[in-house]
Amino acid sequence: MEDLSSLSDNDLILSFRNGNDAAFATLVYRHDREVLSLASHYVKSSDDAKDIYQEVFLRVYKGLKRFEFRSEFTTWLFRVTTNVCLTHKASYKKYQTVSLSPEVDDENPRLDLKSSEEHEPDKQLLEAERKGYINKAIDSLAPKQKMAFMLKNLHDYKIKEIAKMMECSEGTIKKYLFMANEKLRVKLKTI
Amino acid sequence: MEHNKFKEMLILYSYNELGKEEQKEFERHLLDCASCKNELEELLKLHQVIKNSFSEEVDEDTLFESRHELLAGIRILNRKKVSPQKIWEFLTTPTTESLRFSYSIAATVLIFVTAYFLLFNSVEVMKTPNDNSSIGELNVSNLQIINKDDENGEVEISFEQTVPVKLKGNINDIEIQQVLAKSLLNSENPGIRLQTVSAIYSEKRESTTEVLKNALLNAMMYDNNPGVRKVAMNALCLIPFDNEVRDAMIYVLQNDKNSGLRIQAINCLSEKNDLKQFSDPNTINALKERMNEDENSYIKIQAKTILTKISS
Repeated sequence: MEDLSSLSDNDLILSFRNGNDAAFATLVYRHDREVLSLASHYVKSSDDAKDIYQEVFLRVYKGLKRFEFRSEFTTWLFRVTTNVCLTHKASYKKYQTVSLSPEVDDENPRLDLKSSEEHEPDKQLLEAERKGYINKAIDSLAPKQKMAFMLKNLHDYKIKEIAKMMECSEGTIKKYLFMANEKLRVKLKTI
Repeated sequence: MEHNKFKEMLILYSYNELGKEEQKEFERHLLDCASCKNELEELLKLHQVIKNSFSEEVDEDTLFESRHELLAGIRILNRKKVSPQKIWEFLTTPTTESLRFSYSIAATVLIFVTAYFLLFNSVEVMKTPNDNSSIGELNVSNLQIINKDDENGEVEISFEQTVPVKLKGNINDIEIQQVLAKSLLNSENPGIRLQTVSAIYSEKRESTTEVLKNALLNAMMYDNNPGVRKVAMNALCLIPFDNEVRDAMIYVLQNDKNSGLRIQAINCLSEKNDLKQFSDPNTINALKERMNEDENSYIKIQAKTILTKISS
């Protein structure tokens, strides 16, 4: 009996093309944690992350028959993932609501740790508040800057790999990273 | 000017993305430049704070639900994919005796149905020289009018058609197992998947192809119908117990929300006599976790029993 888990990605693709659906399942289970992780980092809700997961693997399912083995399967998979994430964000933004509260300044969130400590001794609450500010700061980046920053800082990909995933030059990725770091340094200087 | 050049290098240095020479050059600069040194420390601290605020672990429930939904999505996709062209290719390329037999039955029915439509429904079946897609219909659904020209009466339509095929053989036949595996993975209707997995669950089954085994593993772990998961597990308990089956049972034990299925999984594991299969650290850890954390006391006891057997 052939052990599918021992096959390489390319062999699994060939097996799937020959009608073995289980080979596709093996391919999915091998890489889907990373896809879901990336999606979960990029969007806020788990429902959005699930939508991205579904869209990515349905595109892969349909596209595998045309896959030409010019790049690694994973490079292609994460290229699809970054594209779906970026598109997802774009469609989400159309329906994004605007806060009417005058006290909330999205552009310059202030983190007043001192006063928080005085009035809210609960560390967990403080931590949640801090995560909220970090998320807000990262969300304020342009979609491609945010994606490059997340792939680099949270998933530890090399700039060369990110360039392949996002289908642009290494110079462009460096530019995104410079801009993202500069913005985050300003926005999160109080942390 | 020189200092600005190093400022640009700072971010790449923080990512360990500078070339060897540039790295050395930057490190020499750091020895003399307190400003860059401070900036680098702040940047590394910022990266660490950001990384710590995001969980590295994927939420297992979300992963489980995503896999379920993907399976359902693929079923819907496959249902839509059945085109008249595909059916025609299938009918015209029978590969085995049994398929030839099915083909002859299908062809006979096809002739009758086509004749019925031609004689009683006054439908003119258009057939272009290079188009085989208009070869009769059996079950027609999702019909859409693409084009309709009232002047000359021409009409272009698209539809889905399915052809019933009867396949008779032994549960050990490769063709039978392949069809059952496909049905188990792709049928949208849970009743059909349950029928399929029940057909697979046979004590008379002496061999299991890899395709069928994988379909059973998949169904046991991810089918959204607990009945299908249960019968798939029964079927897997009958095949030789290997690492893949063990890992899948452990997966059910750790992730299935249905306690009945977790009980069935621990029972299946406890029946296995080859304790070498359980010496793997992940398996031991999973059993320990169940022993301490499962909400069902029977599972806790059974997990403890297996662990005692392993250690003795």
